[in-house]
Amino acid sequence: MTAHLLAIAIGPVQDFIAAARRTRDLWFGSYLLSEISKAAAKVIDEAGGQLIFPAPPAKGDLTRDSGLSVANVILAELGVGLSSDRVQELAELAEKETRKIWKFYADAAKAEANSLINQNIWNEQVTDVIEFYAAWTPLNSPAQYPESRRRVMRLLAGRKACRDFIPAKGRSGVPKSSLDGARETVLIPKDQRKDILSEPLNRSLAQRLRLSPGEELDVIGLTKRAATRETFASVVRVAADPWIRGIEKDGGETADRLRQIADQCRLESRSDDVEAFATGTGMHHYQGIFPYDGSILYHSRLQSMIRASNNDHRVIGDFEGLLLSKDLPKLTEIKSLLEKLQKAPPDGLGYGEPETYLAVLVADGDRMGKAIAEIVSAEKHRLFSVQLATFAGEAKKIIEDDHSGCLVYSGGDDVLAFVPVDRCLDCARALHDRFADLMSSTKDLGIEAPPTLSVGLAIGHCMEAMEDLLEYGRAAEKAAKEPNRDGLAVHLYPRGGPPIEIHKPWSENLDVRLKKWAEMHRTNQIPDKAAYDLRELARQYTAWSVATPDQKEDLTKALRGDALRLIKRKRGNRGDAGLSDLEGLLGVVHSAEEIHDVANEVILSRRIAAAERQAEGRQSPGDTQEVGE
Amino acid sequence: MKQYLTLTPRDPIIARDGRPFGVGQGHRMRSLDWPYPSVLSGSLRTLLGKMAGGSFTPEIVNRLKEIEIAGPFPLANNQVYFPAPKDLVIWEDEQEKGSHRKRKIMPLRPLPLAEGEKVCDLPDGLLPVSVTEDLKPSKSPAFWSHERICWWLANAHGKDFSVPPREGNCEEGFFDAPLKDERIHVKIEPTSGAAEESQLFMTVGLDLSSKGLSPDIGLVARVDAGNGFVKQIESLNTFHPLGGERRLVHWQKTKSPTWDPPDKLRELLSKTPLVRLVLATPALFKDGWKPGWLDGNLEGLLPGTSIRLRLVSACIDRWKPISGWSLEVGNVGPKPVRRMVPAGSVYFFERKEGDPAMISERCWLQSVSDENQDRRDGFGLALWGIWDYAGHVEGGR
Repeated sequence: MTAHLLAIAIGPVQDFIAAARRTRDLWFGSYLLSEISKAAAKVIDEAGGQLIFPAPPAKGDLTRDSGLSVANVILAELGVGLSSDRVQELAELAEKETRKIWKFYADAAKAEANSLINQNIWNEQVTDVIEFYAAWTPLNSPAQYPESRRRVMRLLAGRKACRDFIPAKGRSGVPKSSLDGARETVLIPKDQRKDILSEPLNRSLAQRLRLSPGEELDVIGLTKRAATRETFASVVRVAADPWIRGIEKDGGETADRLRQIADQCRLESRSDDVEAFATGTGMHHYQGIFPYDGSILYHSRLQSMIRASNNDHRVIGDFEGLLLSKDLPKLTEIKSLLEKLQKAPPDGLGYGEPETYLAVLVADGDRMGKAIAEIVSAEKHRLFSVQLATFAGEAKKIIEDDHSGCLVYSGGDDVLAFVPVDRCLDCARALHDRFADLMSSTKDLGIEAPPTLSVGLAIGHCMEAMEDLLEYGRAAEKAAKEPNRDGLAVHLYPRGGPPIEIHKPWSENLDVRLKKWAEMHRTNQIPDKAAYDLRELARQYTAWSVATPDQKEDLTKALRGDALRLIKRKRGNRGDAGLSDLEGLLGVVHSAEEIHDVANEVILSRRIAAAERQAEGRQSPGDTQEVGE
Repeated sequence: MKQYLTLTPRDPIIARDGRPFGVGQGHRMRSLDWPYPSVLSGSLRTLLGKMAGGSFTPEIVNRLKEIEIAGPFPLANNQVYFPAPKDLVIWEDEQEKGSHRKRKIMPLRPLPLAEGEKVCDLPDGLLPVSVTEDLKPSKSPAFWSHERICWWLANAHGKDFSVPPREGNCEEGFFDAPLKDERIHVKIEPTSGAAEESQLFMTVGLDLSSKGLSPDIGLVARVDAGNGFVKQIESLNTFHPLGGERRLVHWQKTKSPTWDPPDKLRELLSKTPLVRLVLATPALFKDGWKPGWLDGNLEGLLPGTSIRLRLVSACIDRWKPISGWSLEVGNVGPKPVRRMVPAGSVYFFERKEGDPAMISERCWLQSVSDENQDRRDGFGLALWGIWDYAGHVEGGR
């Protein structure tokens, strides 16, 4: 008997990860899929299999809730002595375990929200969620590892080409899930729901589920919502973070005021923080001065909460429906504290409203498949996987501890996170560099060109729908990989107007330039209109056709001359010292497209500068300006 | 009697997915990539019912439901287009950097295994397809012309086939999925005619007018009404809504476009022991992924024929949900969700007995779905071709 390689893929990825309305759904869905995959890996490990991917760095990493995040693909080596039938049995055991773990979380959700669940529909759906695909092949000798690994992964791809499924037990008259419409809702009709959620005993459940009126959830959606009591930072909180950090940095009376707002968020009448009326940020995020959602820091949102708490006809079940008239004094108090912080002097401290934009960071390793194909043994592949797991762990630290972000998912070479705009460039660079560091050691494993990391940053408004923000992030990641990977893409999606999309290879230091332009904006060394005029200039030159190389050279000279003249005419508030960098760049451009790119960089960096300015803290009165696009 | 219709959309067509829409239920109507067959059959039956007097009595409704409808398919330059088949992967060779990476095809064909050999957890008796490259699929057109797809169906191994381009182009016989047209609307307060505050909503339509490349793109459908609506169809030349939001389409009787298999493919099909089924529309089967006419050993009689087939392998994308809103008297409300095998999915069969010539005569673009009403609604229409095991250069296994 020979050894075997076993490869497994687990899903449904889309339902667990992509279908999400809130950061918490997204985070917990990713967590669930990782826990389910980990459970399958643990079965194989305990049966004597040697895991190749994932390769947990420490003993105990495969236990439930260990903190290790894994991808939904497993590759393992099964020792000599197992027949092919036994390999199949082991795959079946792993599959059973994935269903067991899924059921564990689904049961937890059911226990939490039992009074809101249609039991029949729930029971029909709960057993038909997990998708599991497995393939195996003999490994006749260690020397044949590369060939066998390639074969097993291709067999798995061939197996996944046939996604067999059982028919749905659909029900007429029952609405479908609001997240993807693929299954019926497991919630009881909304009128009955409303009655249950309006009972005082169920307020904390209503708070946790935060159902919009009419929102419908299937078994996966409700499990993501109710299987854990842990909260997660909202996109609004991430967007507001530079403003909060700025105030924390200034300390003193200013910080005290924000602390007082935070105190008001903690309702005396409700016993613990979980029931605070501004949702918390979870146990791991933003534990400093303001560990709350952040919506109340925006005037318009606060006003609508005040209106809601005054309204007897509110809809129970959605967030604003949880506000009661007894909350009104607290909200009024928050409003007055906030006005003091935000209004311009002499009436207030001049901090303005928090920024409304945040960055969605999506990173992915480049040419991973090619690198893995070069690895000659299972042992070396395992070492490679350990490096990936190490990166996944460090990515959390880089994003959360070093750059004030919130990691949604990091398994292997994939990262998804929300990061405050002022720190997103540094965060992307740190991830890229750390990935390169860890991968540089893989040369010892026989990998000729160690993989690199492409990072997409999409800067979008916190009121955009979650599905749009994710879509923006993925588009940026895709752009970062063009044309030859190892790139950074920064896309800005303004509320009004078309997006600005820039991508460059990391070697061209786009991040350094954007930070430079942002600094110039921050210190008012670059006039706001200059970039728009440059873009208009580029537009005029784009239409100019040239026939001969001489004409082209003349046109380039004229273009440079015009661009430089345009910049020289501009004066920033603090003189034109900072313009020399821009002049240097414009002095060597070759085409109108390049000028267009430079202009876009300058325009985009204004958004970054606005966040940086808030994070700096104390401002002079003239600095509380609005940023437009 | 088979009749053909052209449908010319005046507006982007709304074909929503199953997510609820309404106040508090999300403010977006999201679009499918292409209207499901039931969108067409529902609209056409309503139109014919109105033309026949507009009294939707149970008897009339039953007669309307008996009409067999196939479509809608894109139509350009008098060629019908079909969803791209799933038994190939188009990719770009990473070895060649920059924008001139060479586009290649990896055909997916059943992988022959030794007797009793098992390499994956597919249901017993089913073979995986052979994957011969480690690749990421490249962008490729969503629809292939009748001519292109017939070439592919006649190509047993999938080798030496010209690679579809990145972007659709009707000159070459490819067509991209229609663009999605997003529109923001404002809820109007009916008494004052003014916009209501905070009541914005978005519709997404399939824009079949913006393709630019070919002004002649339309939709085509086949109708077989053996029960008295032939006259109405014959005189059809009118505007009537298709899909949601009452978006208008011009409906007109037309001559038959090229719809049948070419002679070469007929000839190949009449001889082959290895038959390939490509779904031209999504299919509904009572067993989920597997046609109900196959037994536990994956064998069965192809409906309407005496041909016995055994399923060898399949390329099936993940299921797609279909539900909808029933307007039938006494049953108004959300329909139950069902799972479809997506259009373009491919089944590889071995013919055990029966005259294979029947396939092109009786089964071409006929439904292989299980329930009669699903068949009449146009789910599971089949295109047929030949195939061979991966690695075989000539002949069968």
